[in-house]
Amino acid sequence: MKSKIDQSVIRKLVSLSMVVIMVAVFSATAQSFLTSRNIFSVLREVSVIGLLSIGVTFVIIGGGIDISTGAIMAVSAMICSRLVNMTLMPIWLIVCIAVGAGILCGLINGLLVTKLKMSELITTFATMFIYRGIVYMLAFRDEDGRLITKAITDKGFLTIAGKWGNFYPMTLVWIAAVVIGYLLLKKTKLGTYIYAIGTDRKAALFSGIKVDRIKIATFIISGICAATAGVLLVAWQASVALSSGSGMEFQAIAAAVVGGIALAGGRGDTIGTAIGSIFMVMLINGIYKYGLPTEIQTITYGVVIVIMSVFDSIYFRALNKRNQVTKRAVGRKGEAS
Amino acid sequence: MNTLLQMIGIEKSFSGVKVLKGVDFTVGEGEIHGLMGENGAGKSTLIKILTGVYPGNSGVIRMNGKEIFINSRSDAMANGISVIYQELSLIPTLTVMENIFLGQELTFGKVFLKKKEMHRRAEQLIEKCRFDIKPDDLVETLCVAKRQTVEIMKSLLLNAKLIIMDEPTASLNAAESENLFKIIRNLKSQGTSIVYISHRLEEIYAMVDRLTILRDGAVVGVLPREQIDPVTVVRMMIGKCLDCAEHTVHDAASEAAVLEVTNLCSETLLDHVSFRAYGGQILGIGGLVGSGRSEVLRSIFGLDHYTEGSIRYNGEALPRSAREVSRYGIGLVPEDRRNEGLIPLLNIVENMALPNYDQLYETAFVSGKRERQLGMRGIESLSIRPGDPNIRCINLSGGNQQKVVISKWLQRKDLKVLLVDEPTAGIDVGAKAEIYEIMRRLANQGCIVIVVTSDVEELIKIADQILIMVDGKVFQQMRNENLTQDDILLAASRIKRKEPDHAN
Ligand SMILES: Nc1ncnc2c1ncn2[C@@H]1O[C@H](COP(=O)(O)OP(=O)(O)OP(=O)(O)O)[C@@H](O)[C@H]1O
Ligand SMILES: [Mg+2]
Repeated sequence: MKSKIDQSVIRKLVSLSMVVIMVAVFSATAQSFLTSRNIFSVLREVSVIGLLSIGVTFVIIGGGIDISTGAIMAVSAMICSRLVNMTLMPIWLIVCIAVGAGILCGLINGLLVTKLKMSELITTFATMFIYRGIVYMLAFRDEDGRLITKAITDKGFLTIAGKWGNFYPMTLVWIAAVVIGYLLLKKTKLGTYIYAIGTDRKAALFSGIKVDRIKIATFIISGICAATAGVLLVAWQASVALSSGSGMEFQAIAAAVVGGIALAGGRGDTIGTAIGSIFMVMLINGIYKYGLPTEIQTITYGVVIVIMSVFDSIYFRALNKRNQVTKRAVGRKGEAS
Repeated sequence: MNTLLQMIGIEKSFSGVKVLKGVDFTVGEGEIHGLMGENGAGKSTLIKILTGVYPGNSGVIRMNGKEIFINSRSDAMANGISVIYQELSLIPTLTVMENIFLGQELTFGKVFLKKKEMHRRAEQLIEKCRFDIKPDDLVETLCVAKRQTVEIMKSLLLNAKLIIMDEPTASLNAAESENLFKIIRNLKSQGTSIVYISHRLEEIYAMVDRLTILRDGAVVGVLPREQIDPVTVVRMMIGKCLDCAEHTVHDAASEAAVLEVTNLCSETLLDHVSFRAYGGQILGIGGLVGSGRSEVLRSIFGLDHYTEGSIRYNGEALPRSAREVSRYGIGLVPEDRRNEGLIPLLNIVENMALPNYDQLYETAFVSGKRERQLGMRGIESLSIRPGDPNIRCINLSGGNQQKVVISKWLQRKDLKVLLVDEPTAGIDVGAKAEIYEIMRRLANQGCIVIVVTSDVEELIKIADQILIMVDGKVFQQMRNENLTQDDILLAASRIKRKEPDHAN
């Protein structure tokens, strides 16, 4: 009988070895790959997608899906850029407002899903457009009303992204999220409940769990993570493109899938997601280094998702089969009637 | 004995149809109280009202003489009522410990889990009940019997005064059931009351202190232990006497159809399985769960892949896909009916029509009238209740869902071979008799009937030829003459008493 620990460790080793193989291939072919500079810049990129991915991990483990994360990230980034450029608010307040917007977006997703009983996919599909619309509303315009991008010049705000030697401290935010996320899932009541509702909603309900609240909580967590990613993004790039983050929601989901978060819910943790995020970003980064066209990039995402999902379904089926050897002893004597 | 629970005048309707008509139900302190009734009599509904799954339309519930109001499962828990449902309510991806404590975790400051403490408490509980599990086992790796013990521990942790068990032995074998009975008696001796729902009369005789019998949503009697006897109970339940006709072995005619399975091997389990089944006979396959019985049926039906061997009907090899096999006039009633046999959101007629659409064409379109006729025939032939063809299968009682699955195959006019896996699990005595009768009628029409069953008495009652499987092999084939339950049980545990009998 396999214990819980073994199963998830094995699954992580699989995705980790994929990362290792990729590192090997890239460093053998591209010399600049294994430099500390490149590694740290990969990690910087990981922290943005990685944060989105941590957030969506909670939603997926809870049995849902969230495709509005990219748009939430853009809303938060745009709020920062507006407030920094137009007000004299202290930085901490601006960050709080941006994250607060993320919480609000997540709350709206959660309420729509639980109170109006809409499907997660449809809900976040719709709110993805709505939040993106808000980004346009908040965007800077010139006198003729044309959309323009405006760079942030405030040094204070830009230090959020910062640089210590070759290392970008914003990576630490992501690492913190991974650790906090892990503790939240494994060491708290909320975490247990998220696994419970993702595995069997009805059984969770029967155990007296307030399923709707937990579901809303997962969307709020996702919103917080996405908004935090938005703050980092704008501090890093100093400006927000209107389309920033679009497409990233799917990369984030892909990273989670690669990391062993079963799309059916109830399985996986943030460590797996972290490995998956590194894999995805390296894939993007490596392909870029090779100068391969973007279409190859997108196709690769798709292929990777398919391969990992197929792997998981085969893997879990094999596990179940082995567990099903529950030879039940002799047949029962029938009732005397 | 003090009265613990009193339910008075409980009524419940689903969309205008009354399924409980003023039910009174009382349970004493430390009493094991049986609850019986036909499929659809309202047993599960009564329990669901008591545990807050549905609101009752009217009636009063009292615990220890005080009126209580139960609107949710947590209200029930708070009043010391806990339930082990027909379908289990565990989370497979969590550990035993996490499941036991689910919804009632021990925490620091309401947030962080006290894992060590919970682990210790779980271990104590397991030890006290002498269960064979560990707190860190993942529930998905446990067999059904062990999962049930987890459910029981969950109730015990709540200090439940009343534990309700809805058909707990439906998926347990004899040894596991015995173990459960021990646990139940142990609970009783500690003062816990048990409500025990079952279709297995023998369990009821062995266990309960009192028995309440429901029929059509009304109580038809409450019997104290001394008055519980099979004839009375069956009569009260179904309102008539069942005559147990003597079993006669039917021999196959020389020109009968024959299904010949030779040297069937599969990757995982089956090991050179060979046998013949003849039209006009019922072939019963017994043995342990996991001995490959269901796999044989599934291979014949083209669902499972076999690596070696052949399956021939009247000398002609059968195709290896379920679709083509079923066109041939071969039907399978699978073991896991809820998941494999029914589309829960479709109504009765649609479910019954599914395997029969090739017969329902009129020109290019399916004839709605014929579809309906077929549905009505199916409902009548097994007296499915309620007999409303438009009801969605998900709203039927457990037993009636099973009847729908069986019935849909019985509607095929060109049925040549019927494969049935556990035909009567969860089905009441009256309907059992009807199912036996139908299988016999099919056999008499020249059909080949192959039945897999874990119920040894059932095997002896219905089969003409009995095949015992052990570890993927055919262990023994016997003509069902003067066989006793012991012969079968012994064979299933690899002890031959009778000489094998291949005379046919
Ligand atoms: N949610 C529902 N909606 C509509 N009708 C329902 C619903 N639940 C139960 N019923 C009907 O109520 C009646 C009683 O069902 P119940 O499940 O209580 O039967 P039961 O005695 O438990 O039977 P079984 O032995 O087959 O489990 C049945 O006729 C069933 O069709
Ligand atoms: Mg029932």
